[in-house]
Amino acid sequence: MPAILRSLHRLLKLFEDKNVPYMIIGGYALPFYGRIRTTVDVDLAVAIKTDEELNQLLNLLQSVDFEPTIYSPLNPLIVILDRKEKIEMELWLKPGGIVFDGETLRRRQKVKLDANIWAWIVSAEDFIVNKLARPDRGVIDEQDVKSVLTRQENKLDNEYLQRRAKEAGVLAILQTIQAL
Amino acid sequence: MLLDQRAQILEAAVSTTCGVRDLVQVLEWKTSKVIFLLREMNKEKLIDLQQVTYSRRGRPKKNIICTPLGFEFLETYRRLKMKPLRARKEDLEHAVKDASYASRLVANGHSPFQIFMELNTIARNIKVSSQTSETI
Repeated sequence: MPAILRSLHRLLKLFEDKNVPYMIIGGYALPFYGRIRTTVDVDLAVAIKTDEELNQLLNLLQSVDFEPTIYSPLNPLIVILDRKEKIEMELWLKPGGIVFDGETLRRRQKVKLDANIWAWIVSAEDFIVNKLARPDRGVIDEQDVKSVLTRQENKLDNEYLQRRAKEAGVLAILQTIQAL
Repeated sequence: MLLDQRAQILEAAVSTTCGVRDLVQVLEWKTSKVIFLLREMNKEKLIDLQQVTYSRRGRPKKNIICTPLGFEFLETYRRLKMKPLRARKEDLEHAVKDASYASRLVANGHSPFQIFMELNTIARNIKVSSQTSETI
C-alpha cells in the first residue's frame, strides 16, 4: 500500500474513533467525480468550531505521530507532518466557499480508497464551489471544475450547487464555465 | 451564513467606527439578523466587539472591530469578486476530454481512484529520484 494511503488510514481512523467530522477535499476527491491528474497535496476539511476542540485535535494528532508544522489560531489551515511516513497533509478549518454545516456533512460521500480503507469525501457540488472559491484559483482548478461538471452532468443537485455558489460569490464564474 | 453578508459587515466595520445600531442603519437589515451575524462572526474571530464606556444610561454601546483574520477574509473576498476566468476555452475542452476518459474507465469496470494512486506513485517516485540525483 502506498505510504500516503497508510498515512491517511491512520489519520482517518483517529477521526472516526474520536468522532471528528471530516471530509477529503481537493485533488484526492477529484478522481471520484472528475478527471484523473497528479497532485502532491492531500487536503482534508475538519469541522472544528471552538478553540477547545482545536486544542483537543492538536493533542490527538500528536498522540498518533502527526506533528502540526504550520499552525496559528488565526490561520484556517493546519499543515501536519506524519512522522512515521514522512507525508505532509493539510487540514482546512475554513475551506474556501464551504460552509461546514449539517447539510454539507449530510452530503458527504463515503468512498473506498483501498481494500480496507473507507473515507468521507466532499460532495461533488461542494467540491466545485470550494475549487472556484479558492483565493489562488488557477487554470487547473477551473479545469477540475469543468471535468466534474462533465462527468457528473446528470447527477448534480443543481439547485444546491447554484445556492452554494451564490453564497460563496462564485455563481457568475460557475455559469461561465458551464456555458463554455 | 452567507459570505456576502459577512463581507458587507466587515466593509462597514473597516470604513468607519460603528456599533450595532449604526450597522442596522447602514445595511438596512433587521436588528435580530445583524445581532445574529455579529455573534457568529465574533465566534469565528472575524470581529471583536469592543465595549465603549459611556456615562449615560442604557445598554452600553459596542463597537465592531475587524480582526486580522477579518481583514484577511475581506481581502480574499475582494480578490475573488474581481477574479475573472483564468482557463482558455481549449483548457476547458481538454478537461472535458479527461472527464470522458475517466467515465469510460468507470464504464469498463476500472477504479479511477486506483489509477490516480498509480499515477501519483509514479510521479512521486520520479520526484524523489530526481531529488536524490541532485543530492548525489
